[in-house]
Amino acid sequence: MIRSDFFEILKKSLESISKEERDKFITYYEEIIEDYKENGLTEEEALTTIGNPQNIANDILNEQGAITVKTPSSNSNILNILLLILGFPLWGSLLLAGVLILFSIYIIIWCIPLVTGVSSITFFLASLVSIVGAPFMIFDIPAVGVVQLGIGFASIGISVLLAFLTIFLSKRFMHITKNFTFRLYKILNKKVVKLW
Amino acid sequence: MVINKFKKKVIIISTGLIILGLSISLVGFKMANFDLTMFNSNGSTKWYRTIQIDNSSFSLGIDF
Repeated sequence: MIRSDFFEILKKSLESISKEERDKFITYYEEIIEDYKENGLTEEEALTTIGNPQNIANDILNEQGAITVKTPSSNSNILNILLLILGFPLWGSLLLAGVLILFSIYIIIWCIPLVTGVSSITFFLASLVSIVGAPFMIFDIPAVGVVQLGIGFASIGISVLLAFLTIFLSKRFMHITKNFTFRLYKILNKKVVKLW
Repeated sequence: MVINKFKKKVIIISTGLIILGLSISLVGFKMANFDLTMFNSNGSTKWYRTIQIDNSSFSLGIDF
């Protein structure tokens, strides 16, 4: 075995651990090879003494606590792609259903701040017209004009409170939406097993 | 924090406005001797009138 083959097999076998850890082990075994060479061994002899890179990787992974799963290899990326295409009616419709359900949940959640926001604007407009029209109404029917003025003031207060509620809910729901979407993305992108 | 104090003040003022508004409305109803027929629009539309009480239903809005 030559040096490049040894490290290629070792690197590939240690794909499941982090890059930093992997580089540490690579550097470690490079130094061992250099030490053997300084002691008079040839590169090939040094590699034979160190042992099989696959076994070394297995020992490292066992120490790291990684779980490896052996599954029958399909032996072909083309076969995987073919299976994906043939299975599309099943997984495609399930995926679409899942996406639409998630989208519906987001719409329902975001309807709440939308309603409070629109209500705030509506109350504000109503309060403006009520207060501006109150003097005219007082000249027309005084009691109704006074009630209208009172309703106008109350509407301003309601409008401001609804505006604050809208801002508060929007910030909360933005946080929830971002977190949930990010978690879902992490779950879908998670690498759980090393397939041989 | 300055922002929180401002928010608190605005919420207190808003609540005060609501209470003030409801109090003024109560005065208006008292002026009408709680006679709701005075608040009927009777089909007439005025741009400056925003409250109507027709057939026991209360509406707040602009009618052109």
